[in-house]
Amino acid sequence: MSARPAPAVEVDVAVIGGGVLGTAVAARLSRTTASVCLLEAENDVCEGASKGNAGVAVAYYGPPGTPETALINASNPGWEDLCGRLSVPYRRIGAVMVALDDDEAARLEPTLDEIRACGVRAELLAPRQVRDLEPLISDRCVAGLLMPDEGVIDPMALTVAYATLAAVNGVTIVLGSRVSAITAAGDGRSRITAGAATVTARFVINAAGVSAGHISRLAGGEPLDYWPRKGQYAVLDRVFAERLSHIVFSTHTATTKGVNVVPTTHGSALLGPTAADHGDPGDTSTDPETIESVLRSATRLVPAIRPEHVIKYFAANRPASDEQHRLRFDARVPGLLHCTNRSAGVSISPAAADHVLELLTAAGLGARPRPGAADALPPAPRLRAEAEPGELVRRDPLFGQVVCACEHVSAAEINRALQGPVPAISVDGVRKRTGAAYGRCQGSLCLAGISFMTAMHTGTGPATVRQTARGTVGS
Amino acid sequence: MTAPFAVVGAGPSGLGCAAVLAAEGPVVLIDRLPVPGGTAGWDGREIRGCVRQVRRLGVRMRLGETALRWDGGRLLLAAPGRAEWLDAAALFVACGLRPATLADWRVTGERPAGVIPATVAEHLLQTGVRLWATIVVAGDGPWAAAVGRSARRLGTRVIAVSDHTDHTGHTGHTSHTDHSDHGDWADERHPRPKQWSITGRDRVTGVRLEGEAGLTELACDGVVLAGDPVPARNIDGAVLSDAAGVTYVQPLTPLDPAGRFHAAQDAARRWLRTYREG
Repeated sequence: MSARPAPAVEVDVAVIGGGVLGTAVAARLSRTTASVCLLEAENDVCEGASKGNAGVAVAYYGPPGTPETALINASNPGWEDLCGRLSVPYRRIGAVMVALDDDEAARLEPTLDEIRACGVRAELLAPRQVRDLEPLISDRCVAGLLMPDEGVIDPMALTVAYATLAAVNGVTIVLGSRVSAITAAGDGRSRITAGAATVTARFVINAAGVSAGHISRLAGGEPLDYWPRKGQYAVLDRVFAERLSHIVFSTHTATTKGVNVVPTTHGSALLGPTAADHGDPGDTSTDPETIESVLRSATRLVPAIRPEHVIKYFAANRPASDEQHRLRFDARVPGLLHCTNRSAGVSISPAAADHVLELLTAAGLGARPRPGAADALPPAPRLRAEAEPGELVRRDPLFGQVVCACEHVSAAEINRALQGPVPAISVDGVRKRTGAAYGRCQGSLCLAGISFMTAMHTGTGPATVRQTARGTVGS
Repeated sequence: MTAPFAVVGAGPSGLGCAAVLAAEGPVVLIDRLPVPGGTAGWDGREIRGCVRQVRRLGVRMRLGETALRWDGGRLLLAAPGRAEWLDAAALFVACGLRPATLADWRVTGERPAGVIPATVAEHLLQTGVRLWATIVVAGDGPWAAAVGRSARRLGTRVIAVSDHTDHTGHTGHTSHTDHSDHGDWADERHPRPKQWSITGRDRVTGVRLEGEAGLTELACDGVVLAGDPVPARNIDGAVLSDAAGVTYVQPLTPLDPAGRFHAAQDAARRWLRTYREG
């Protein structure tokens, strides 16, 4: 069903890119009569911007009246239902935007107007109301905005779940296959060469994120300009982060949304992101000055944050472009549909996938709802999420075999990650799917066990088992 | 019947703590491994003696069970096929030591494959497979010498980066099989820098050290984090220093099993004095 490069595939739709948008589109199309193939350059899905996502399913991203805002509005009410069906951690915890001086307070009013113009709920808060809602917010707070419809989501679990649903419904998923050529194949079809695979498709979805410009060039499409915008993050231990009950946003300025404090569905919190445009999509390095600035900005909002709460730094590149949201057919190549977003990919993904289907149908794709197609995945229980895990452990003894001691991830969950329709093929792939090694000891106690389990499932050994999608533990 | 004292971690520290508490009341000693001894191993002469001592004192062992949560009076334990709460009068945490993480050391740079904690490297090296051509062993915690020696035995060149140049550093997990070799375990040594960063995209290619002597770049294909031991705390509700009903008895030093047994005994005695007074 997945993973093995198919020598030659002929489909109605080829999706290029296994990030949150590509997998969402594949999952949506998989519930129709259209035949679909998903191509991903890396050895796993969710390896680009979607892996470094802040984990907020936003209600507001502004400005009003844009296609992006329409997709956010259409997606937002459905998160509980979608995440319930796909067994993806999601919590609508709401956000507080904090003004720490008069300048920032002055900017809250226009922001409130803009949020309301987007059709999203928000209300101004007095300083005392802010601190009642979130006592950890700085007592220098002079005003705030409550945004009750903001939520936190596990973006990696979401992307894997979209891909899994697609695979369950028969989508061919070809991993580790970078697209090297896209040529015309007659009858308005395109022939895509990706690694050892050749895929002929009537429609090509360009969901390649920061590589979308490259894909368009390969296809002879518009000269689209994409470049990486690096965001650096720090992750806080959940002993601190669990004291936060809301997302804490900085006041937006004209140029940036600033550094935020975002509780994660794992119980930790993300500080970030920064935004620095650069020219090297492979560069996801952190540097001490930027991390220092992230901590400074976050501590301004929540003064109780301490450097010793930080358990990890990381960086990711989101796709910046002159067109922040690009969901439309190419002007030159018929059948080539661009599907990228600056940084709200998670938040638009459900409605963007619906919209892609509409655009394809209008362009002549014969895609009818397919009776019997799955729209849900089997429940994926987690030991940590159970208040009383006795019943779960009795049902499957391996839920009581704790592998990751900090995050309380069980052998049952790790086996599930290694065996699914879109299985983890690396230690990091297990982390992305389960949260194992995501905690305060960063795998000191569990990575050996996870390495051995991963090696067993992938037929590798202690040196040759993959630690990440790209690299092995040994050399 | 009074609720027992719960001691989590049946290594030398947990055993020492349990031995003292047993004089006051019933004790349950819990470990996620199916044997006592922790990182000191189960079969050493000293450890066997400690285990005999606590068994004689009536300490009950629950081995192969993981403590997940503490709610102030109950401890949630999980084992294959079973998860249940154990009532406990007080909780004592002796879950061993783990090396400092990249974040503990403020290490920036890339995050490639091939950078692993020493506790993991020990297990991987025990398979007898040569993993790397050249490793940087970062720090001089209790695992550094054992990892350095195992790696060298398998033909890996070892570069040590640490504060100390004490070449006889204590051996950790595999020490009981390694008494023969007390020589230096590194081919090259560098002082600990002010700032570290990692280079390499897919796999690690090196470490950049910025210190008083300027910038040093070390080429390597593996980095082992082996410094600044931190007591492992992973029972929810028993992580913060002021957690209700929780006493942390895991010592950072000494490092030999007998020393840890005695250090934890002292910690438990101090607790008992306060407990009896109030």
